[in-house]
Amino acid sequence: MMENFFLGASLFLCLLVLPCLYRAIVGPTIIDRMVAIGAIGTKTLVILVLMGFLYERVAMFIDISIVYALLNFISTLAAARYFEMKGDI
Amino acid sequence: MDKKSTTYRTYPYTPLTAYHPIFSQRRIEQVRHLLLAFVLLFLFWLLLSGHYDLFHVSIGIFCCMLISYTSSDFLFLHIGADDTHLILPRLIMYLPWLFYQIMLSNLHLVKLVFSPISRLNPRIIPYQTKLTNGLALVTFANSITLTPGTITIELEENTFYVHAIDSKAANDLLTGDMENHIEKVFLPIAHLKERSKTMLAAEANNLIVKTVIRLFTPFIQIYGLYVIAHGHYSPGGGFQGGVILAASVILLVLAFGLHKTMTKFTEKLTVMLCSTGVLIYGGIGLLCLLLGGNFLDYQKLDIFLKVGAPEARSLGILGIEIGIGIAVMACMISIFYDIATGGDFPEQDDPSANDVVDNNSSGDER
Amino acid sequence: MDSTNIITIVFICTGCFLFMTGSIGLVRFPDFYARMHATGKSDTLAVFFCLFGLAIYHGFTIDSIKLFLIAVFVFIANPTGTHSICRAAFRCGIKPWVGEEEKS
Repeated sequence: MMENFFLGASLFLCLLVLPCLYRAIVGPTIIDRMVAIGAIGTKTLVILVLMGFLYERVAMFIDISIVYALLNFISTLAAARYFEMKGDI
Repeated sequence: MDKKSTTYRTYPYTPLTAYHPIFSQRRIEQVRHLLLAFVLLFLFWLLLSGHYDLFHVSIGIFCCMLISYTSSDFLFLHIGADDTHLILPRLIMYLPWLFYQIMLSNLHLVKLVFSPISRLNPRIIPYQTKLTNGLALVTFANSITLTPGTITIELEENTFYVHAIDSKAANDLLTGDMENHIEKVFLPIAHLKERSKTMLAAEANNLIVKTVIRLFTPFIQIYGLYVIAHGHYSPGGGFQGGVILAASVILLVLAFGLHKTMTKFTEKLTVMLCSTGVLIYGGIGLLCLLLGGNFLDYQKLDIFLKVGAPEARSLGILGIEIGIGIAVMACMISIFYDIATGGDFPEQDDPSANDVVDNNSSGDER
Repeated sequence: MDSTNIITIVFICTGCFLFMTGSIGLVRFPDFYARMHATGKSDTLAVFFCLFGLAIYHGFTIDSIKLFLIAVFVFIANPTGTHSICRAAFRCGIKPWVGEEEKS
């Protein structure tokens, strides 16, 4: 029963990626797109952990999600720094 | 240091500094930083690794010693090792109050999202603060960003520029409640104002990102080494761990600028590390060949190790994972340097030669 | 129905609701800075709630402490990323939208 609930929560989070994608495609400035991708990254983190519970291999998926959180953080900082240096959007 | 000029106290306590110049105050402080960093990183390793047998714990001790030797002074720039035991409990007691504020104001944000847009009233507020410690400023800035309604945009000298989304959030900030709480947390080291002021002036630019990256770097490196060492139990191994280690160095470039990082983590070092990694990998394979088996036939290593064939295979794999991890880290950093500098490397003693990514980080301390 | 299961369901539902708020805010708000408010904050708290619920479901093991560790990392890293992006935008000259009167 909890498996069904986790599956439902993961599907709901996957559906929530669609508004972020809309903002990534439409967003007038580049930074809007960066924000949207960061939001998608945060949702992916939770989806990964939920999948770990679904597959009964929690330890493995937790390690993967730590790495993904780190990569998300680095990419956000690197992109922001690049635009700050470049000076225009 | 002249021994005659040291004053001796009347009670039978001679400070360590009186014995010999090697025990200068700064060295004692450095050793304390090293020890505290080692303890923290070892606890972190034990938390990450689920295996508590002698072999893994000894690998953990070695990795933590290595990382605390190279990166321990990252953790203790704004607060010293002696002050940590004063501040940490107060910080932990500050967190529930912060959490309560975050939840209250998230409810407000939910209301804002579902209401018409005309209710929004965004503006940028300058906010003068009386905090002086670098870590206090960063905690304040992150707390402002976490409580909905306000984002820290810029931090200059003593002024925060905060973007508030409507008047309620702005008024909440301007009451100064949060600042008083943080001041109470950092009260024990408030007398160290002088030290903080010079350091802050030196790195006034981009304090928040620098401090957060500094605090994270040793832990990320320990995580990379954990991934290398546990390659045969959980997802990981040499390649992934090497990439995580390289990512920590790239984070340092983002914080401190390319030139400073290239002077600390030089091209020569990357070449040496890469060669060492390949040497370890090829060396183990060749050793197996010389002992009579095929290339990378680890069971032949049993002749030296005498622990039985499966254990010998496991140790052989661990050995080449370490070699691969070192080589991959060095290669990734080298590729990053090549792309970031565009091919023209700065001369050894010419700090202004590489201005491409370096505009904002001139003349700051480590 | 176990009590831990109920608590887990409550926490994860709250987390998903906060994620939904963040996404709706990302689409609805008129200005880049306002969108950062919506996502940067509600996403962080939503991650915390979801991971806390899952940690309670898993019981008190090392894995639960690791989940808590991810939550702490996200709690510190997300505001820093938000601040960094806003700073970059501010330096590039994007001005915030100031409500109904059009003053720059």
